[in-house]
Amino acid sequence: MNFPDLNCGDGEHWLIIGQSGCGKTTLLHLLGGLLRPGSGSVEIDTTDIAKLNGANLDHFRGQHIGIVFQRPHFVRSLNVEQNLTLAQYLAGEKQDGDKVKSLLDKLNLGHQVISRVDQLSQGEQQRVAIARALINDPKVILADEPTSALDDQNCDEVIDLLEKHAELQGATLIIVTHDQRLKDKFENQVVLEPISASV
Amino acid sequence: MNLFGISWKNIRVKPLSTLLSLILFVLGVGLISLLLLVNKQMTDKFEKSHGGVNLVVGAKGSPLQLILSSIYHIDFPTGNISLEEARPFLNPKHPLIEKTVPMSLGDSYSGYRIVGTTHEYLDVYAAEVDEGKLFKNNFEATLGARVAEELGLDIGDQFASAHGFGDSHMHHDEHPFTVVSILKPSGTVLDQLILSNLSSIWVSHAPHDESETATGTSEEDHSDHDHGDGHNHDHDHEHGDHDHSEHDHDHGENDHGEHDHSEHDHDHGEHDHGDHDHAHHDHGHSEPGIYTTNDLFEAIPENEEKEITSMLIFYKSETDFRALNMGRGINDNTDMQSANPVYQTARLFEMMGVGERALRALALIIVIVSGLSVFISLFSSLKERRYELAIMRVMGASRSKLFLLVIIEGLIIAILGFLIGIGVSHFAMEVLARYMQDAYQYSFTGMMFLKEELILLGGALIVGFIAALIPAIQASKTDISETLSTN
Repeated sequence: MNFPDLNCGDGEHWLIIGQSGCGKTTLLHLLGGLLRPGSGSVEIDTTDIAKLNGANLDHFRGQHIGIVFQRPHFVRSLNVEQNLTLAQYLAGEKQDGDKVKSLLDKLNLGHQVISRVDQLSQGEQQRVAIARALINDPKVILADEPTSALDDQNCDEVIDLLEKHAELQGATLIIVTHDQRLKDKFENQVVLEPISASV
Repeated sequence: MNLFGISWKNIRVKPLSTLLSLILFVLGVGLISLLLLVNKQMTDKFEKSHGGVNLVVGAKGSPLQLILSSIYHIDFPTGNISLEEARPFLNPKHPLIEKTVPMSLGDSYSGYRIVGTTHEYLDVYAAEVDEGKLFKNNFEATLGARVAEELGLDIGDQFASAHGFGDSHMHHDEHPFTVVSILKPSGTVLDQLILSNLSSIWVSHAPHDESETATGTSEEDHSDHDHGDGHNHDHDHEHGDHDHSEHDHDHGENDHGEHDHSEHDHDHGEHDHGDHDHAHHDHGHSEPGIYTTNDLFEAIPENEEKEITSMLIFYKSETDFRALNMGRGINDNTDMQSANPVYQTARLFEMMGVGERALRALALIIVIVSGLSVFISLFSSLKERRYELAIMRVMGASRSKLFLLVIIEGLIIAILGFLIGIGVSHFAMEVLARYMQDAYQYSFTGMMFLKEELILLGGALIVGFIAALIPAIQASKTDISETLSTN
């Protein structure tokens, strides 16, 4: 698989759009340090994360990259608040309960602080996932099909939230999707060609 | 929040499989710990009450039974031996014997055995009197600490001994014992015994002590005790000699060798009085009895047909081969038998050891199964937890963190299982102690902790670790990208 060079500036919002099977998710995993590229590099700020070894990469990812997936996954035994605290703990950040609560408030989840995650609606779950991606003030926010499982209203809400908070934190936002509803919302766009064409 | 906290919450989120693993762990650990407790306390008490006796001489029968009944006061006596036969071993000038403790067994009070013996018996355990002074006169009793405590008896109190060791129906009501002293707790079998002089036992077992109930009942009582109670021979024998229709306590006429009974006063109401007041007429009770081994030896000529149950013999030199041969000589040349306590208790532990080993093996199997259950529970949960493990990696958890997370889950179950298991076993021991006390004449307790239990903790941790090892490795290998791209 080959991907075109891509250069996103600080605080820019990008949309990477393509049909399923064109390697969107693979690209996002490469950007997030979940996969290692066979060749080439992934640089965030000045760090080439492709060259970081195991635990260092994990640590870097925890601190500087926030990722939102198509389907939100949580640690089932922890409640909403604890799932966010977990993100702080695993990233090696200070466990700051006030920060967690104020972020949840901003995302309209203040009333669900001690709820079990699987008791929330889909839209609420996705908002918790966004909160989790934001909690450590990352430099980069990656979102993999964040809206494809949501209805129009929730879709708008989620994109607005992502854009608003990325802006607030000065983070670079990269959304990977095949969701055509997002097409008109972003200035910076990359269209991925199907794999057969790009080889 | 830390790894331990997350592990703990993970365990609580699947209560059923946790409970199963926990129950198995508790069973295994509890059983092993209980075995350790029983074994330790039994061995301790047996060794403590052993008292350094070199040889026990008694009536022919099972040597183990002789040891158990004469040293540990557990089993029934093998029977009685006559003073005539015992005489050489009671001789203070015996060249090989340092000390001999004669004893007469067969009666009890409220489940506690009465031992007719001499003061030398107390030296065996270096027993000290807590209050009062040691038994001397007939029907003076010295109580073990536990007897006094459990029965609430105090100095001056009286009680009637019963024939046999159970809840006997036959009481020697005419000859109540008076408590004259209580021993300090010694942690030995003495704590559970009632001691008196030898002659008290003879007096209360003389024929007049047949109860006044119908003969039939008495016969039944006798047959009840026949299997173990040496004193029955005494009774049976003397029944033939005496006319029980004259069963009127008239000892002057029933001349059966108890010279002190010739003017026996049957006004039992007076027995309550202090014995010194009645020394001249309250016979049998205030009469100085036989309470040292020397006294006994000197009294043999007038008491040749009297019997005792056994003798505890201490050699002058344990390495003297003549002493070592003495036991065989007794077995070969007399109607008595000798038994070596060290050898017999070793044999007993070996016999009990088989059952103990079987139980221990069973407990080990349960522990292994509990480990297996922890393994299965963790391993099968990995599948449904693969997303959350991957997401934890995304959030910055390293492989080793996920490894530790699962290991800690195994260890938490092991530690919980260990703690509850230890609690259960000690509680069970405390409950068992009540039953074992009756059976073994010792106090047992669940309130002691052994260093072996620390080793058990180590073992539990190892089982928990091994059980969690493969799931933990599996968890640490979680492929984030692959897991999160399959929705």
